[in-house]
Amino acid sequence: MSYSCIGTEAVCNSQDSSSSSAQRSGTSKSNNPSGGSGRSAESSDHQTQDTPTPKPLVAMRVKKGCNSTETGVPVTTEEELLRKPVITPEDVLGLQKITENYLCSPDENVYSIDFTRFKIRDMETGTVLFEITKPPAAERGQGDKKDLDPNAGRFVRYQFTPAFLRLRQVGATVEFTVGDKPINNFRMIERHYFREQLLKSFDFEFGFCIPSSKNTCEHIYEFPPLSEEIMREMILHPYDTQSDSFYFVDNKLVMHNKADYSYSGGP
Amino acid sequence: MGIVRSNNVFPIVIYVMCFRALCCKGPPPPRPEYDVVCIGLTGSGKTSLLSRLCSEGTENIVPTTGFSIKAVPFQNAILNVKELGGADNIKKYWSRYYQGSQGVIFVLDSASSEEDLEIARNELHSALQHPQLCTLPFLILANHQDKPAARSLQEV
Repeated sequence: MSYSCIGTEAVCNSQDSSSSSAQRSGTSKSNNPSGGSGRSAESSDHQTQDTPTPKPLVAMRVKKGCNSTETGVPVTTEEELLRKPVITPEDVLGLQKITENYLCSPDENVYSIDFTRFKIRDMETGTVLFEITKPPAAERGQGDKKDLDPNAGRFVRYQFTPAFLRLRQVGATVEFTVGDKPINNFRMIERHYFREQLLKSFDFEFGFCIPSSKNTCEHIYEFPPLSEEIMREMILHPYDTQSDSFYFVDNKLVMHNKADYSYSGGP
Repeated sequence: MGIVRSNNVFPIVIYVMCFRALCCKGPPPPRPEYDVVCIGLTGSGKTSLLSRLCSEGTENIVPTTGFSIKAVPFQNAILNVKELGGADNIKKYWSRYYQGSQGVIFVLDSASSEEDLEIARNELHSALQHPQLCTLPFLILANHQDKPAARSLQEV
């Protein structure tokens, strides 16, 4: 498996095949809540205290101030979403924890969205902390894909050092290509959890994507305020920090990627 | 894979933390952000310009075949620039990206042919008249001034 991975702070192990599809991307405050081409994001800053708040009851509307979703978004569970024919952005915004399964199959990526590069830089110093590029298809060896785990392309494991948690602002760049169908409204919702606690939720609308285009997007990721205790726990328990990245076209889920994270500086 | 440790980030982080502790000040307030769209004909230098502003290298730059959204940091603000490719098959989609912009950067190659300059002029006028841009501030950048054939600002 060939990745070119330039990590100064991080080392990335990805499972076998193709894509570097997981991102830790975030946004700063939103001024354009409208859809289309605006950069819009609702990122909820959650106070992460020492003990996670108890899980809300099913079907209760989660109010602001709770350690979970935005005001008024109903709680959802993975089980109920898996029963739905179509999963919408509002559906995933109600999830309270990392999913066990993927909520869609790789075949549902009918727009042929392919993530080709991911980079993180520290906004305060400009230092590139991490960069990973997916080699062009020719180099990837198409032949033996059938034998590999079909989910291999949608999971990435990141290894950072503890210093990473001290960063305040990083710019996360994502590069992706799109097939020959134009995309009217491309939206990403990414949720980061430590164990069962939501750390941060990102909601980013790319808007329109030109057919057969290659696009890059960098958003600024403000680290949520983390207590010393939570940081300690995150460092001591590699891979208990996980994320789900959901991608929607016209409000329908087309891709779901996952990642997990170590901050202990070791494998 | 081995682990590559950086000597860059960690000492800086320590320094910043100590500094803050001594000064008894909280972290500085986040900088305001502005959304800007960057257009211009292909080859005018949009991608290079933005890379330079982000202290990135310009060696591997290829024509942009879609959009490129970049957060360009300045001391007291951050510009979220949505740069759009200028090739013919891309620029017909420019207006799909105008919504939400607070400013426009129009880049042109000062040393381009008369014909290209005319095309640029037309594109600029279209943008100036577009309902989603017509009230916004425009920065028109006469790029490639280092070329011998570059026209002066007046000429442009």
